[in-house]
Amino acid sequence: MANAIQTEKLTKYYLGKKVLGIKSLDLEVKEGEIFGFIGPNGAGKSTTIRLLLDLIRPTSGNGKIFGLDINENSVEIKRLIGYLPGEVFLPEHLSGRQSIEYYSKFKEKIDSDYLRSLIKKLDLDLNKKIKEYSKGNKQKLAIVLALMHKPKLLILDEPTSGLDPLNQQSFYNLILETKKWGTTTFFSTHILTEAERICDRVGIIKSGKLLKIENIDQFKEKNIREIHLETTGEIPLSHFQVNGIKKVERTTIGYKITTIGPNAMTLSKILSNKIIDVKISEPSLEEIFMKYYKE
Amino acid sequence: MITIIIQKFKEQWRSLIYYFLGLLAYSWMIMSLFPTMAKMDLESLYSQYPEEFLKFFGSEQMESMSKIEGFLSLEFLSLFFILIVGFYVASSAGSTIAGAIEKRIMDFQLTQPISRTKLVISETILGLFNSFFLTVLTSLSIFGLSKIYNVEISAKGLIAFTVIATLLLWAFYGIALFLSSLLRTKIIVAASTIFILMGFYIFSSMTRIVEKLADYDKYSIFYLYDPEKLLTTGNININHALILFGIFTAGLVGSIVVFNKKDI
Repeated sequence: MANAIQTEKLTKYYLGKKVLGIKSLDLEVKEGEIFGFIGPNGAGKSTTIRLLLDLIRPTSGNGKIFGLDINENSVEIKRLIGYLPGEVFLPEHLSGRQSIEYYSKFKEKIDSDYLRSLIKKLDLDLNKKIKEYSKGNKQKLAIVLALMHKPKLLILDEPTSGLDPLNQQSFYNLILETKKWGTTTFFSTHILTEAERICDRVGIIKSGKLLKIENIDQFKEKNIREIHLETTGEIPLSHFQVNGIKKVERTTIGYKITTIGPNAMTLSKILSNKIIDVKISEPSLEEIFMKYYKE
Repeated sequence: MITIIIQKFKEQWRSLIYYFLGLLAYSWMIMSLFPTMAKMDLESLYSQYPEEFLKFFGSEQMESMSKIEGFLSLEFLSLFFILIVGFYVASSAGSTIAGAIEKRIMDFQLTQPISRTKLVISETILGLFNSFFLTVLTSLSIFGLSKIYNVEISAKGLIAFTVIATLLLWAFYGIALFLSSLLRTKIIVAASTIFILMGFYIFSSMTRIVEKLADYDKYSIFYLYDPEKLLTTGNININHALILFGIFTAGLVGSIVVFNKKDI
C-alpha cells in the first residue's frame, strides 16, 4: 500500500537552534488508515502537523504527502486535504453559512448531499455569526469545513477538545465513515482512549522524538491503568503479587496500583480485602512514557 | 484570487463608505469656506502668520493662498487627506499579514489551496483599488463642490492630483505591507506607517524652514507630491510617478519574500 504521508529526518528547531520542535522524524502513514499521533502537550504533535501543512518550514529533512513535497507542492497538497485544528479561528463576522460558502469556493467539488447530512448530523445552526458560536459549535463548523469536500487526507490536531461526549461520539462515527471511501486520517491526540477507539496504528512522540509506532492491538494490550483503592486497613503484600501489577504505592486512604493488561485477575484478588471504594483511571501520558517506554 | 477579493470587499465596503463620507465632509467644509475666504484679504491674513508656519504646510507664496489650488493644498490635500487615507491604507495592509496572524485566522486560510503569494496579491489588489477609489471620489467631490460654490478649478489639475496622490498612497501601502510581513500586530503596523508618513512630512517641512537642510528635500517622499503644483499645472512628472510606483513595488515584493519564508 502506498504512503499518504512520508517524512524523512524531518526536523524543526525554533528560535535559531534554541527550542526543539521535532527531531529526525521518520514517519510513514499508509493510504486509507487512521493513524494516531500520541504525545503529551509540547511533544511535537502540532509542530509535525504545521510542517505537513507548510505553515512552518523545516530546519532540515523533508516530507511528502501522496508523493508531493510538503513545501514545493503545498497548494496541490491542500486540494487533497481537510484540516481540523483543536482550537478554531475563523473570520468572526461571517455566519456559519457564509463561512461554508467562502471556504467551499477553494474546493474543486462539494457533494451537497453529504454537506447537508454533515450539518444535520452535527445539529449546527448556520445562521448565527461565528462570534456568537460556543467553542463546541465553532468546532462543529470546522468539522464541516474539513470534511465537506471528502478529502483524501484528513489532518486532525486534537480535534475533540471543544466537543462534549455526545458530539465526540458523532465525530468518531464521521471519521470512521470517511474510511469507507478511502480517506486517510492523521490524528493527533493526548487522549489514549480516543486513539484506541478509532486508530489502526499509533505513533508515540515525546520531546520531539518518535518513540515507537505500534498497531492498535499491540497498543491496546498494554491497557495501562491506575487503580485507586480506598481501604479500611492494610492489604497483605502477597495479594498484590499478580501478573500485570507493575507498581503499588501507599496513599493516605489506601493504595494506588499501576497495572498493565487485563484487570480481572487483579481485581478479583484485591476485592477480597476490606475495600470501601475503587476508582480505575487512565494515567497521564507522562506516567505511561515513564513506566512503559522508559523515557 | 477573486474569491478572496470579493470576500475582503464584503468585509471592507462599509468602512470605505465611512472614510469617503469623512473626506466628503472635509472637502465640503473647505470648498464652502473658500468663497468667503477669497473675499477677505487672505494675503494680509496669511502675512500675519509666522513665515515658518506657512512653509511647514508647504505654502511659501502668499498670493497662492488666495487661489483655490493653494487654499485646498494648505488646508486639506498636502497633509490631512494623505493622513486620513494613509491611515486606511496602513490598517488595510496591516490586516493582510500581521493582523491575520495575530487573529490566528491565517492558519485556516493557508490550509486552503492558495499560495501565500496569491493571498498577498489578492488583498493588495483590493487595497490599491480602495485607495484609488477614495482619491477619485475625493477629486470628484471637489470638482462637484466647485460647481456648487462657483469656484474655478481645473479638471486637468484634479486628474494630475488623483494620479500622484494615488501613487503616493500606494507607496505607503507598499511600506505598510512590508512592515506587515515583519511585525506582529496590525496596530503596530498602522502606527509605524503613520510614524514614517509623518516623519517624511516633518522632514520635508523642515527642509523648507531650515536653510542647511534645503538641499536634502529630495530625501522625503513628499518631495514627489506637491498638490498645489499638480492642481495648478495639471502636469504629471513621470519620474516622480515611477519612483512612487517603484516604492510600492519594492514593498510588495519584499513583503512576499518575507511572508513566504515566515513561520506562521
